[in-house]
Parts: sequence; structure tokens; C-alpha cells
Amino acid sequence: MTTLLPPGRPTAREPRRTADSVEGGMWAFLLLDMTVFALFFGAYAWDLRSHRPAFTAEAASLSSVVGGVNTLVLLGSSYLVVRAVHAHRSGDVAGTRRALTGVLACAAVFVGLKCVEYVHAIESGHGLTSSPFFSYYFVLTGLHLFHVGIGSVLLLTWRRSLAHGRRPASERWAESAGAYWHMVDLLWLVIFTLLYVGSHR
Amino acid sequence: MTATTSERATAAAELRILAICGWCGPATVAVAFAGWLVAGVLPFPLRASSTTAEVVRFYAGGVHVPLGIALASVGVSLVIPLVAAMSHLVRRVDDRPLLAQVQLVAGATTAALLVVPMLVMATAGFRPDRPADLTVLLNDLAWLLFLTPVAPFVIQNLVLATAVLTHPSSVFPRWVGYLNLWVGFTFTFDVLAYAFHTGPFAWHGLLIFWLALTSYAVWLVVMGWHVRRAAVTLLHESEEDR
Repeated sequence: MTTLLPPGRPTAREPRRTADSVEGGMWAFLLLDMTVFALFFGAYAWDLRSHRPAFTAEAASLSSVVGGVNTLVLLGSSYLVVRAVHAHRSGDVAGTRRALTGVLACAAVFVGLKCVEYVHAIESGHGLTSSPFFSYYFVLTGLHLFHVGIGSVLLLTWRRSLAHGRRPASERWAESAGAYWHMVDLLWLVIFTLLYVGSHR
Repeated sequence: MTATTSERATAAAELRILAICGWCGPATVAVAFAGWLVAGVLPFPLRASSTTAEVVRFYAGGVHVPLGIALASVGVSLVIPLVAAMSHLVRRVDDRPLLAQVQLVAGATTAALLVVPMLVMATAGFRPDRPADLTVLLNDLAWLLFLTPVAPFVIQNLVLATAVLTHPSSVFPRWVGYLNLWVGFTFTFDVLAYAFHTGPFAWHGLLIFWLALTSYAVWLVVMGWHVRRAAVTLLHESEEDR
């Protein structure tokens, strides 16, 4: 027997897609943003091929533990963003705020650990122009950190919109901010893989 | 009260001017590229790592160098009518006058910051028999002025994106708003050109010169096309109203 559902009505398995979901333009923007990062990654891979011994030696001075912890922190934050989007869709303001606080705390931990890493690298005599590897390290992680900053501002704006007496952010805004945060996480996975893991011997 | 014939004629004339302003977008690309090709700046520009001898040889190459660059300075100035037209179209539907004003000021600043380095470059070619170090200095000044003052353009992109994405009846389609966000992003890291003489982050590098050139050209063509399209649509609407 076929169950007839009114058109557009969500089923239990399908996530609800409404006219208010993330639009094509935003997906295209995220794709183009990642394409620019792909150019950076391509340039890195090109130079890694020509200076492999130097890159390998210097990549060994990065702490895979700190990088790994940051990877877990961002993966955890991505999960919390999913929770926040779901809570937002179902109108659970307190749940959304809780999840977003968790994401922002993860972002703060990520930035803090990155600063520790930068201080350590600079104290060891490395800098933006000290060697090809560290040029890429500072440029790639710096540009990523810039994205963490933008993402945090988007999430903070979303969270502030949930304050008492304000108009809550639209679903489209919430999902777009969430999608942006997933991109930030995805880019970090590639940076971690390339710089911290892939360049080792 | 219906508009008089002369008022309608004035409105139609204004819309034709708007369409010309739109054509200025692709014209900026065409004229500037022609100038750079004549001068020899394109297809392969001088590099941040070029030797003093290479820089002096480029500017001593002949009168086509300063003249080509002068033509490029005319090309990059053609963005001015486009900037004005975009503010006009934003203001037309948007009751937030500051957005159009910031776009206008930021766009005008960007235009000035594109013209000045062209003139410095042309000056470098004006007297190539001067002490070589001075030609290198002028060349560095021209290239760094050309590529690194990106903040006004990024502000312009952000304001245009805000105007397009937050107004329900914007003249520009929403994807143009996202395009502005992306184009702005491709310019943010151009300041790296101050730190590098070689590699992809140097002024001549893939991620500085070539990426910015590509995204700026795309932006000029897309924005110009949409300004022109808006002008044509409005012209048709005014003719149907008669």
C-alpha cells in the first residue's frame, strides 16, 4: 500500500528542505573559496616535489600532537554545528545557543593552540620568509585562521540573534553559517594532512 | 499624473547612459589588456626577483612601453562609470543610502589606486637612462602600489554583497552577491607581495598577480553585464508604460 504524503512534506528520514535552505549561490561561493585553497595546495605540492628533503626535515619540527588535537577539536565543532542547525530548525532556542557556545569554545581552543604553535615556531627561529616550507606553513595556516575568524563572526551573529527580544536568524542564514563552518573544518583536514602528516618521511 | 513626453525622454536618455556605464566594465578589461600587451607588461610581467639589468632593459625597450602603460591607465579608469552606475542601481531600490555611498567612495578609491601605479610605471619608462637603481625603485613602487592596496576593493565587494544579499528586490541577482564575496576573498592575501620575491606569493606569482587579474576581469565583465541588462530592462519597462 502506498502512503500518500502531501507534496513537500518531510518524511522522518529526509532532512527538511525548504525554500529557506542554503541557496546555490552560497554553495558555489564555498566551492570557489575551496578552489582558491586548492591552488595554494597545488603550489605546495609542486614545491614539495622539488624540495622534498628540506620540506620533510622542517615538517618534522611541527607537533603532530597539537595539529591532531586541533583536528579533533574542529571535527567536534562540526558535529556541534550540525546539532545547532537541527535545534534551530525545530525552534529549540536554548539547544541552539548551547550548541553554538560549544562551537565557539572549540574555535577559541583552536585559535589558542595555533597561537602556541606560532610562538613555538617563531622562537625556534622560523618566520614567514625563513624557508619555503615555513612560508607555506604560515600562509596556509594564517589564511585558514582568517577563515576561522570569519566563521566565528557568522556563528556569533547567529547566536546573538537568538537573544531575548531579537528576531532569530533565518534558517537559510543558520544553514549557510553552518556550511561555512564545515568548509573551515574540511580545509583544516587537508592542511593537517598535507603539512603535518603528508610531508613527513 | 502621467509623465510628460520630455520627462520620459530624459528618463530614457539616462537609461542609455546607464547602459554605456555597463559596457565600461568589459571595456576596462579590453583597453587595459590591450595597453599591457602593447607595453609588454603582459603576457609575462617583470618579476619581483627580476635583476636590475632586466628591469632597466624592459623600460628602455622603446616608446611603446610608456605609451602602452598610458593606454592601460585609460583602461583602468573606465571602471569609474561602472562604479557610479552600480551605486545608482543600489540606491534605486534600497532605502539605505549609506550602502550606495560607501560603494561609490570605495570604488573611486580603488580606481585611483589603479591609475596612479600605471602613471608611476609610465614615468619609469620616460627616462630609462637615469641611474638604474632609480628605475628599479620606480618599478617596485608601481608594482606594489598596483597590487597591494586591496582594502578599498574588498570593502567595495563586501558592501555590494550586503546590498545584493540583504535586499529582496535588488537589481542584481543573488549569485552576484556571492560572487562579490569570493572576488573580495581572492584579493585579501595580496599584501603577501610585500614579503616575497619569489614563488606563488610574490607580486608576479600565480596566487597574487594572476589570480587577482582573473577575478577582477570576471568581476568587471559580470558587473558590467548586469548593469547593462538592468538598463535594458528598465528601458523596456518605461516604453511599455507609455
